[in-house]
Amino acid sequence: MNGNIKISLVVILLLTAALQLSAQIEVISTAMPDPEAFREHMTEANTAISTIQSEFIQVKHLDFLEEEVKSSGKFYFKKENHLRWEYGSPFFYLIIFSSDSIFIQDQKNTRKYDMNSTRMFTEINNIMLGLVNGDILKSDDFSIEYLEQQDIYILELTPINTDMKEFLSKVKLHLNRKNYTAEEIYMIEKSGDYTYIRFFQKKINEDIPDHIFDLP
Amino acid sequence: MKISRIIFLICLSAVLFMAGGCYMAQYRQAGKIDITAAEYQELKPFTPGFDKVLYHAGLSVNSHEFSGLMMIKSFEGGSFKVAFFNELGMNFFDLELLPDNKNGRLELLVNHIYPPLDRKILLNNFEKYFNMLLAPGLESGDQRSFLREDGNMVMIRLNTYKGRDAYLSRNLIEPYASIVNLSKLRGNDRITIILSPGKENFAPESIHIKQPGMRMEMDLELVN
Repeated sequence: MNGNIKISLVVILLLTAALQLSAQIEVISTAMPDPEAFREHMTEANTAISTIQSEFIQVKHLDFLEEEVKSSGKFYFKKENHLRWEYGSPFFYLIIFSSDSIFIQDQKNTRKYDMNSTRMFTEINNIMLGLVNGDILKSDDFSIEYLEQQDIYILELTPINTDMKEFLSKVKLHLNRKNYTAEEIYMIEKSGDYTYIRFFQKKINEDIPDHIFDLP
Repeated sequence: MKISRIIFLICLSAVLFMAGGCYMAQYRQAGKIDITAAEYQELKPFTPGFDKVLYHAGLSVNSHEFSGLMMIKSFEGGSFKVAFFNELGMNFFDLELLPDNKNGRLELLVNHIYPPLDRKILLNNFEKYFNMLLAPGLESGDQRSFLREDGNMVMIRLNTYKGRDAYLSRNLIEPYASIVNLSKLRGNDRITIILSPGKENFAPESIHIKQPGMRMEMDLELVN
């Protein structure tokens, strides 16, 4: 074996080791030293937030079919309980949560659902609202594990509520360390599927007109 | 078997025969055709070469509405998997359809289902709908064909594991426009599947399934 090949092999081995090490460093999460202080800070930060608008990408992993479905769009939140998910890709549709109803509009139809009649949507709405307004920390529906990494806080929520256990096995929430807003959400289902949502280009406390939460 | 039971079964068969007969009255026999021939395979809702498709889906069951996306994917050996999940990603069901060559059907197995949808009658209906759509019976050799009185529709009639199904095409060149289950006692209970003439990636662009007697409707629109 000549010298050049030996050097190349050593370089490759070192690079591989470095990559493995960096991957390990990336995934190490440690328990928060003071969850109580974290809760106080998060509640305080959320009290100061009245609106959030953001771009998002969503990836639905279909475990059974070994497929992924990607979508993206815009997300709007306005206190107390207005949520708008506006999907632009792979096709347009709109989900608006108001106090007692859910509206879903696609290119052809608008459907209105009574929040009480669609338990799954209600639960998801509660989770989403709880995540953005911080109420999730007070929820009796989950047991919460408080973790952190260098750049983010991580909340791992395990459902206790029987209704929620029917479809969710865990929710993982990655929070921005500065403003405590959601950066990424993983909703892991009982079926083995999971949905990953990443928020980016967030605008906090910029005015959102009320009509954004009306159907067009 | 008791005589009363035999009489009941004979009466039931007669009524079923008449129910199917009413629908059939507008058609006359047009001979047998070999539906395994390549040109007829191309008429199927999901034609050879089909791999997977994503639909925007709406399901209505007893006035309960479910909407989201439905993916149908084919696997080796003639099996299929179907997943239905809402717009925010939560799963309603994962179903698998496995070939049962002995009975010429696809047997439905449930991998996961949202508990409010976990009803035997509903799953039996899903099995029937997907059998009509994925049409294992259309690979079974010579079948009777019928021509409608006005000459505008040709019917291939199959004897399937749950009664007779009619596959209707305008001219046996265009894909099947609709599929009707002829075995239901009342027209209201009849399963009707309307298919779009257009296809993409070997799958219909839209599918509408209705069974008014069961208060069931399913709408599928291709996601481009």
